[in-house]
Amino acid sequence: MRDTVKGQFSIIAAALLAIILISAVSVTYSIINFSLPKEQINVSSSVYEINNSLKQMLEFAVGYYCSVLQVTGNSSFAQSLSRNYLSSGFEFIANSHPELNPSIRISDMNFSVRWYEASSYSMGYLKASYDLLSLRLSNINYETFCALRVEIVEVRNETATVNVTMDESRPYFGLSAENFLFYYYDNATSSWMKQQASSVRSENNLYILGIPQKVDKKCFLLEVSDPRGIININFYSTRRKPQITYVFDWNATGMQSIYNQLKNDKIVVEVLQNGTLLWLGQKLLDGYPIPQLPIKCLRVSANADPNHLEANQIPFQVEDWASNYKVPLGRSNSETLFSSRNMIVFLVDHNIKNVTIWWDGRDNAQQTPHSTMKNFNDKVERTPNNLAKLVLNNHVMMVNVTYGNGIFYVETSTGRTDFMRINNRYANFYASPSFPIINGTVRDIIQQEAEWAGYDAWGFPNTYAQIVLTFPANATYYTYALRLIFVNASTCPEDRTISELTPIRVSTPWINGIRALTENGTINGIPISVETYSGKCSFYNFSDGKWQHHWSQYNYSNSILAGIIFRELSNLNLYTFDKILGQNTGILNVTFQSKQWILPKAVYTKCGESGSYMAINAIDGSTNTYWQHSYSHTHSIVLDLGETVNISRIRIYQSNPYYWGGTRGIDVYVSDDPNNWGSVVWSGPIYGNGWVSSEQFQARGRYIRLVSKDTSSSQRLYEVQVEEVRTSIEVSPIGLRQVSFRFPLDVTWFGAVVTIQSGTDFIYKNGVGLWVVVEHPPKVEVIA
Amino acid sequence: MMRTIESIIAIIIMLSAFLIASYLIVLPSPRAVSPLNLRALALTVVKNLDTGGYLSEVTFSNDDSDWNELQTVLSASFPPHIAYNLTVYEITESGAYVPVRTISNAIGNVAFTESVSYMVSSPDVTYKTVAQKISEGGKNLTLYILNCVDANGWWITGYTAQMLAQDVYKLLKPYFETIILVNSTAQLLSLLDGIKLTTSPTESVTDAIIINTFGEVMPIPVEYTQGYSRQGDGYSSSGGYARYCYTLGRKVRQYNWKWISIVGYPFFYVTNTVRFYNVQNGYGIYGIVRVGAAGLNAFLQGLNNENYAYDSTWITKDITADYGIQVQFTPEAYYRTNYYGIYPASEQSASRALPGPGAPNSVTSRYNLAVYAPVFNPVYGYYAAATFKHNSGKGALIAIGLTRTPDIRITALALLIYYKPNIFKETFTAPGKSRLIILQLAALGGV
Repeated sequence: MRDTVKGQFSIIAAALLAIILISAVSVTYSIINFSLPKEQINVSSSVYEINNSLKQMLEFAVGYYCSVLQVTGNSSFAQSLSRNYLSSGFEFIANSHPELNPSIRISDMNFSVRWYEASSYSMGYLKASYDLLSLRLSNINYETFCALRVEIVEVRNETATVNVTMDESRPYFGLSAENFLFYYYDNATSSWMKQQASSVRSENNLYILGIPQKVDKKCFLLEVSDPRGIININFYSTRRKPQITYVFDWNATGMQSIYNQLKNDKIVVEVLQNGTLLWLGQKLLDGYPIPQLPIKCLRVSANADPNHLEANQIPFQVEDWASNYKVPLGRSNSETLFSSRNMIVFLVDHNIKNVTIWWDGRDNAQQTPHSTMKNFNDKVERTPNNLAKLVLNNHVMMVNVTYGNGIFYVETSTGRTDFMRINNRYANFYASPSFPIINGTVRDIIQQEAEWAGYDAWGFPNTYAQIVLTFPANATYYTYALRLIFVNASTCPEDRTISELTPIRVSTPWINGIRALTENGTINGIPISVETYSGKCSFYNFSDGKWQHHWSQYNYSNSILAGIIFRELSNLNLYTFDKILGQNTGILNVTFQSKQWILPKAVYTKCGESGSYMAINAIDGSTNTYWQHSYSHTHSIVLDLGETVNISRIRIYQSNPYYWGGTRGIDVYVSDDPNNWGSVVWSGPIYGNGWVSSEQFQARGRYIRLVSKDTSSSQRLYEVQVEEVRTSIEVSPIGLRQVSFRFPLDVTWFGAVVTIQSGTDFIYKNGVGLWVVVEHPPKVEVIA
Repeated sequence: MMRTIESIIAIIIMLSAFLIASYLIVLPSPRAVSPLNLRALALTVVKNLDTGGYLSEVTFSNDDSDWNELQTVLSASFPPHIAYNLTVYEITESGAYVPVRTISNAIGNVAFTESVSYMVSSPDVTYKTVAQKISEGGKNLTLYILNCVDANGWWITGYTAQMLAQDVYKLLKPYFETIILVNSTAQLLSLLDGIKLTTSPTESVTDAIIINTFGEVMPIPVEYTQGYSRQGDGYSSSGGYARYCYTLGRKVRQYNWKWISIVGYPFFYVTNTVRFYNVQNGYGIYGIVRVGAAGLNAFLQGLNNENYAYDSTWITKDITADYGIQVQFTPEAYYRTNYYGIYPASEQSASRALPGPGAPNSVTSRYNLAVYAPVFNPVYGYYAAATFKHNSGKGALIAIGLTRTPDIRITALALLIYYKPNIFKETFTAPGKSRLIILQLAALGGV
């Protein structure tokens, strides 16, 4: 029995063991088979794919940002567009992964560039979080960054060695010639052109690029783009700094001793996109072209250490010009990319040794206040005769521009300038002038068009003119550019015959003690001054093949002074008509004490007026209208001449039997104060038919009062004019002989009208300071 | 004996248990325990292929050899037992994905188990800012710039018409496929007759844009002048050459032109220096005949397809003189100055603003026009610069009624605000600019 039990126990034990063994193996291997890492594989690769997509999208967005910055300098606008672009990309990621059902949120993102330096970069940063709802994952944080950095390490011979890195400064391999574009400036199209590197090879993680032939090896731009679309633009110069320096050598003028004694010889220097420097409009230098930077990035410093330019910044302004720098349009918007429509202007004097144009290449650079400060206090007023007057005030002197009713002239405290007289007919200016820049930083600019209305075969058909005036800050002069546009007249019914052409006439009231001086050649490089004592003195130019009369001026006790200075090279344009005719045609006329009849500008007061016979009729320029006060009493009228003038006579247009003053005559008073007349300056009969003049007298004032000695109510005052005494300088490219031509011609004369206040500038030995600035500009070199 | 049998049974039970257990001990295949991460593999391959931009470049290529090369590269990138299927999708404007091309090494039906997507963006768009050409109805438009040597301009202070034409050309060149200078009034006549001026297949007279650079003056072919063959369409004894302006309006309607007047009062004069050699405009400039305010009215009558009637009513407004203010950019204009990088002054003097809705003598109500794309905010209903389009959809006048000197950037801006050519794609999914690559993989056979 016991044996049987033992045997059954063994069997049962074996069975139990078998069951346990089989169960353990089954469970174990079931777990193995069903717990494979497939789920973990899906999660990690999905996260990896999304992260990769986000990184890719950031790279595209940085490339997009760079491309926007190549059109506009407005980095805020570029950021906004790029953020929208990036956001749309995230939507795309979500939509193209429906199996993951991602939901992406941006925590932070930013794009930034720093270009136009030897070492430049473009970069982007993104911080985002997202959910992968299908995988029940949430708040996955991801932070990434991408960058393209380019450094021009060296330029040697015909090659440039460039270090290109990406992201965390890893060398960027695999770029080819199409990724490297050099810029060169094309003067024919006035624009930057790109040309692929002529060769590319890699060496020690660097790229050795062949520089195309047209590119200036000393100063160039290089654009590097990578396959992600990210762009970099580098500026290389031998000094490896983002700056261009102009060195002014005053010693080279040979006139340093004169320059050193000038007090306020501010001259505006203009820098064009192609690198040309202009001084009073003539070329000083062909420098390096200015990169197409945003205007807001520009800075200008003077007499500065190249490594510490910030401390020596000077005012400058950037201007918009059209039509190859002939038509001023205004100040450039700070977001504009610098182009052939822009110029940089700043002031120099003999104390300036160097000027550096430099820039802050960051996309978020701010415009410097040195380019926006106002150095003028300009305003518009009305004159007594209801003309408009723009008063330009640079805190050293004032320039008044009067316009309206066909009138346009410019005045300073010492002179008046009239423009555009042809065949003894002054132009009309029916359009108001335009003011491209007022309250500027470096200068104000005025533009006006001259027309000759009521044309009736005056002899110069198809002619109109453009006048551009600039008024620099801290200066005692304004410049002029007088451009005559003779349109093709080949089909006109009459010849274009010009017997007299005076684009500018400066006149000053007669002042006792005034002297007129004109340059008449030079001895040992110093001008000879010729003084005009009386009448008109004409200086004939180019008589010996040289332009000799660069300036003419009035001195008054060596302090108050006015004059015209002409630029050397462009004044050769004055010989344009000499070439047409083959003989001398032009003269400079200096008239010492000239007289002309002028109309009073306004009626200040009158004793009365009847019906339509208003007092204004006496100065309306028409002898068909008249003033009448139908009342028997002492008649009087006060006329405003608009400015203080020297007067030598008056004349009245009379008509029998309505003589104003009757047979008894009139009394004439002149004063600057209409409430205080002083003594009679002239008294006497003034009747006859037509124009009748008084006798000569000498008086000076702004207001003239006429009192009739006749109390008749029927007397009529048809017209009154005043004989004004002035001295004048006229530049007349045609004054000697008449010239006839029908072909088109476009010629511009440049110069300046100077007014010197007491104790300031340009005064040195009879004013030759004016001349030295014009004839002996500094020698300028450029360093990049 | 029994013990032996019992032992044998126990042994049999144990052996059976081992046999059964051995049957159950089936290790998963190596592929299952450590499966090939096809998804990561796919992503790695596409990333590696796109290093250096290769994949992006091929994606936008139409060259079969490029795709063949890609197939070769793909085949070399995967183990032999991996089947792949790469499809490139174009993203349409509606957001749909349209397959462009597929390359695969799969034979027969293969169940692709993993796929990854990868975005590519056309390099031509991201970092080569090529402006979209101005077009309408899918057709690139032609720009004609009047540059007639036998015409004189007025109100273009400081410029000559020819220099203005050059400025315009340079500024607008990126936005037009075809720009043609109209160099004489004879060429203008051909244009008015709907005849192309060049043999270029891209030139199209219909729907063109025409810029008159002569300011307030409109060149006139001699045929339309008094005493010549088309006098009836060009001249009337009562209205002078307003009749020509009327004809011009009809032409603008007929050909669906956009006519641009860059400054001042449009159609105030006509010019032909040969025909009008003995007529001057009152300012000594010969070849110009005054039409006056009737010119604009006649033009609008023609645009409106109504009968011609002489009307010399002055309809424009000198906003700056009368209201003492300057006109200011609209928000859209501000946006577009940034978008195109063109920055004229945002405030201007306007002396010839056209009357729009609400203004006296409104051209919109009178001539069935609608105002589009104003550059400046209207002042009491007057528009200093805007597009006046006929409600029929045929023809428009873009009038820049600013005071001289014309700033040609305003003209360019007015045109660009109206047509809005793209320089930058606005969204990642903008059509034609991005593609999606889907790479599918499957592991075939093996363990």
